[in-house]
Amino acid sequence: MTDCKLMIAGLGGQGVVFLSRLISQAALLAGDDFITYESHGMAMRGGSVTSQVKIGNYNSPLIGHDSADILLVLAAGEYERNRHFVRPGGTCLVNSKQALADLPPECLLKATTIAVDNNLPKAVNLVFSGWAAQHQAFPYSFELMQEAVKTMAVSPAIETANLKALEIGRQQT
Amino acid sequence: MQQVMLGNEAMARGLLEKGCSFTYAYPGTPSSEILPAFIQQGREHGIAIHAHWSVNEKIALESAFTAAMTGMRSAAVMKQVGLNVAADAFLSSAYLGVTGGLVVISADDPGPNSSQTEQDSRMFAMLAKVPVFDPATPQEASVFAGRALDLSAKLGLPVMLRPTATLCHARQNISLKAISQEQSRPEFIRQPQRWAATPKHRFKLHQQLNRKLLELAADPRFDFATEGATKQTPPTPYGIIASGCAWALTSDLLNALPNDESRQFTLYKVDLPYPLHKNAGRTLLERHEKLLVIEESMPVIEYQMGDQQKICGRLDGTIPDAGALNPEILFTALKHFSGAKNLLTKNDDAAAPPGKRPSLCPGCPHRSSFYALKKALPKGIYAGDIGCYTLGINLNALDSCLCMGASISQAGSFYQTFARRGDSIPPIAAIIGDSTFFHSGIPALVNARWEGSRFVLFLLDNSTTAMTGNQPTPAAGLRADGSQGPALKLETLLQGCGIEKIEVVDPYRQSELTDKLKEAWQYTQAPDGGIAAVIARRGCLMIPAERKLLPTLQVTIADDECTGCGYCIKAFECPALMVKAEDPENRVMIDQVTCVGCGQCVTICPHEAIKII
Ligand code: SF4
Ligand code: SF4
Repeated sequence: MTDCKLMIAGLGGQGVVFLSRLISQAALLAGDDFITYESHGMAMRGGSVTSQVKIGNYNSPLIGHDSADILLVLAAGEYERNRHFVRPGGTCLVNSKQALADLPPECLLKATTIAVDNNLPKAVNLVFSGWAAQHQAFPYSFELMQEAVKTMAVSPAIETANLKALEIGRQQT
Repeated sequence: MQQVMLGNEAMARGLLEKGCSFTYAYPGTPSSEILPAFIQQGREHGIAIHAHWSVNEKIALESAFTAAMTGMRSAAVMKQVGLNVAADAFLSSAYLGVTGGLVVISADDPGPNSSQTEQDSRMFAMLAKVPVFDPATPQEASVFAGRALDLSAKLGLPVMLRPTATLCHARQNISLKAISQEQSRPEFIRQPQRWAATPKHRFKLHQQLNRKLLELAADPRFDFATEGATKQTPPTPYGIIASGCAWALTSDLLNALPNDESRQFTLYKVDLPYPLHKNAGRTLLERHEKLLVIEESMPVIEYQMGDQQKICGRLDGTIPDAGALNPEILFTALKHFSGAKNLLTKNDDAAAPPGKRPSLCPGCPHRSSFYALKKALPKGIYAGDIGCYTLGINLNALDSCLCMGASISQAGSFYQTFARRGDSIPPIAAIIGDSTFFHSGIPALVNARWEGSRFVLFLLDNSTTAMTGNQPTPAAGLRADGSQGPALKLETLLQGCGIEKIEVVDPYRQSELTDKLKEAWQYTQAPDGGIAAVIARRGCLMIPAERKLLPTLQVTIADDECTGCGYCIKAFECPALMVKAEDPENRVMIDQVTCVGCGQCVTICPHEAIKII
């Protein structure tokens, strides 16, 4: 049974909620219990949003300071605001064009640039997760994420586009 | 079978599993997804159900109550401030009771995140003398929705299910039961002395209600003192009583503590915070040295506990009396409560920089409307209302926001105040969206017209309830289940309210809109003038069909012409307008991924640096 507290941060409209749903779908496929929380309402209009995913034996979806195992950041500006949720020794993966002082380069990806260059500007979240799934701290394998994308796709066209974005992300390591 | 469900979807599921066939709601974060999930799951299972977006919460509750008068099982769904609107029906319905089953789901928003107050619906239930369940997880919420229906049917009383935002928008793998295929028929038994009770009968009904509540408070199924690790001898020094999401948070926190620390506490879970079980509290007061009550967002259980000497919680300040609970607050409370004997110390004072504030979407027609309003009535008082357009505050084009529909009453009263006591009357505008106008703007408008108030009624008609996820309004005619009803025209309604000057303008035509707003203001000052309505009509871009109507222009900012004055960002705040990174002159650029090509910013730049290519 996996035990992982994962947090996703970004801006409204970036697909933070979709990403947390994708990871929960992977958890379901893996047969793990989980509970997640998403921001809704006013914040979705371009404001800061976070999603919290707790995989394992939990009742509340809320993650406290110093306790997330992994933090995924889709907008570099949101890193500062959320890094204190990560436990000592935890992992931060950030979508950023610029270097960030306290993070090694292998924890950064220019996901937006890559997505735009590949003509998938709306799939930054998937490119990012295809890459993130390669990291050791990520709770599920790349293959399971692929499965999750397939089970969640509402049309074959979306499935193809999303799998492509995921694959482009994988190639970034 | 296991399925991933949002708390809101799980509640809809629970209703269907127990034979609920009528659901009425008004959208409001965090409750908005319940009704669509009810429709979708009902449809998937081929159940004959009826679900409707009522025009407001009072109507939703009156409708659901009436279905439950005929023996049906029904639900009324709203957010906590919606219950304020439905209060009249809610309090009266407790006296009359039901013959079927009625669940009132009122979703709270501690924080608040998307509301004007962080009131506790359980407190409202206590005021109305309605039993209330407080579920802790999506799984439990689906079970409690069903329990609430069963209890309602058994007692003949409405029963409340009170989730909080954390639960509504939590997603969890949950176990499902079969959906009820029960198809009973409505039957109305005439009982005028009950259904139309006069004050004399109301007194008797009140006594009956009290008896039912006393019985319920003695029901062993709700004795929370038997739960938890009670067999420990001797008992732990500290007892914690919690309900709902606050219980979930506490149990996770205690589980994360090392054994020797968590061993000091016994956690008890309350499923039914009102009426609180009559003996459980006393039992625990005898069992433990001290008790801590953890609940959101007001001390409902705590007030009912009696002996305040041994009890910590919101009343003695152990738990803050405002704001949502989170692991840090609970941790501090736990330390304080247990005298911090040997609890883990933890870095709980990390201060996060503030987040990015929400703003209207790129291309949002409201942004153009606000810009035109500021140009037309620069010294105006802008009485605002509730919806996406409350974000007009970012554009400095909103001066008030009291509650749903208040823009019109406030504009009317601003007029009366200045007309009767002021030296002059400033330009006054009521800014209200279409859905909010239907919700509670209409009676306010009838009142203002009757009172003889004068102001510009600026109706932002984006043909949807945008803030809560684009639910249709009566103007579209489309109903919650996708069927087409009659489309009610705003113009006709305005005429019916006695408004004689009405203009409809596309907000993307900014100069025309500015002119019409100026004209409207002049009309309010004319000797035979009154209220002038300007309808800014353009669909919300979240609706795919409306998005197709976008001009999709290629818009850029000429680097050599931009002076970096920052006016466009300050006055227009389109999320696609960004100050260039590391530009010494702070020039602005358009982020092409975010820009939708509406072209609305082009006329804003005083230096004509923004161009269509
Ligand atoms: S685009 Fe125009 S308004 Fe915006 S900063 Fe440049 S000069 Fe100022
Ligand atoms: S054209 Fe201008 S106002 Fe419209 S979305 Fe693009 S930057 Fe924003």
